[in-house]
Amino acid sequence: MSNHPVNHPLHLEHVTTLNALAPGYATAMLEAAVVCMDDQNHPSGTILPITINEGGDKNNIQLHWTLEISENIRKSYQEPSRTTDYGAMCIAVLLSTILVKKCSAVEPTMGNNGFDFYLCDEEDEYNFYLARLEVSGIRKESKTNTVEKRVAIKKQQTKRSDNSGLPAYICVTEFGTPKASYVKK
Amino acid sequence: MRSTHRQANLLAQEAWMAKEKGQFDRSLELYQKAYQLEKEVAQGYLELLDAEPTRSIILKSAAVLAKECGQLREAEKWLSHALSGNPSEEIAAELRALFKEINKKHRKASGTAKVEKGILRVVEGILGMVDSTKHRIGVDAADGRVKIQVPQEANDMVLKFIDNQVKVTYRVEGRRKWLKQIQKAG
Repeated sequence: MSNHPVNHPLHLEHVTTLNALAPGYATAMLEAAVVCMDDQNHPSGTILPITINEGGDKNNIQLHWTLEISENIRKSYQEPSRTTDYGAMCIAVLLSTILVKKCSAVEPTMGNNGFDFYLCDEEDEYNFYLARLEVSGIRKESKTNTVEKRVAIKKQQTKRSDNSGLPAYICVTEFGTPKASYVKK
Repeated sequence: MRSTHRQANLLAQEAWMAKEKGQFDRSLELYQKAYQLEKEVAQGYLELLDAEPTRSIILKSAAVLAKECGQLREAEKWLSHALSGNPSEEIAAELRALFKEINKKHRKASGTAKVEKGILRVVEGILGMVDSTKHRIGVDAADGRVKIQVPQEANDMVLKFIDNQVKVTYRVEGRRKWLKQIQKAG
């Protein structure tokens, strides 16, 4: 992973400018992320502490957004699980572009449930897939549902990639505290 | 090729979103456009045997799009091309799983699907356990935990329901219970 400054500002709206994401898909991620933050009473400017690789670096990212949550948006994201998943995707995609070297695009996988991504190096015309990204979200941690446990589950899930030659990253975001874990498998 | 693939992927994302909203006609139309583009890219990768893992991922994506368009035979061909190259073990496993899924669809479509034996039952409760190693889930229902076997290819899919209220349909075969369908309840 690349070096990353402490308190690096991260503008959630930036997700809509990433060229590998369809506008509708990116907007859904952005709105869901803001709904999740707002639901947990976090204003724009909130610090998101990130654990990078277990037992490794800790870092703080300052999350910013300008999107106002309208009643219509709120109604569209009433389903908590799906909203949390989309919100976590927003954070994970944006973190990937600053934490993973050469990652210049994040492309959703086809044929899956839409929650996983490939990290791409746009400089390479032919062999542009760099890594796989597995994303997970928790609205508010409980004793049985923690970031650490979720990372462990995701690690099991991606175990098969050990000999793939395509590294896997796992990003779990918890919106209650908030906090995130970005781990290389 | 990368930019054509990107366009195909963007269309596929829109198609997926349309499907999520229940706009099935629009979704199919977008998937068809995406497939036409991805087909061109996949053709270009056929001879690029050294461009792994991108070659396998592109061919798999062409297969997925063909499947979404109902072109199952074409999907099988793309998967065969991908497997005949040098995919990593992980991607090869995904290709085989997809091949199996498409093959099953194909058999169903041609009316030769094997009739599954066993009784279908439904349970509602919290999905309290997902054991990805033993391919098993635990649904915490009013009468206690019901453990259900999960087909390997559905392992990832069930994880998204963890800690949620779910309605699970399963088939009882002897002492085992096999997952048939899982959806959010309530």
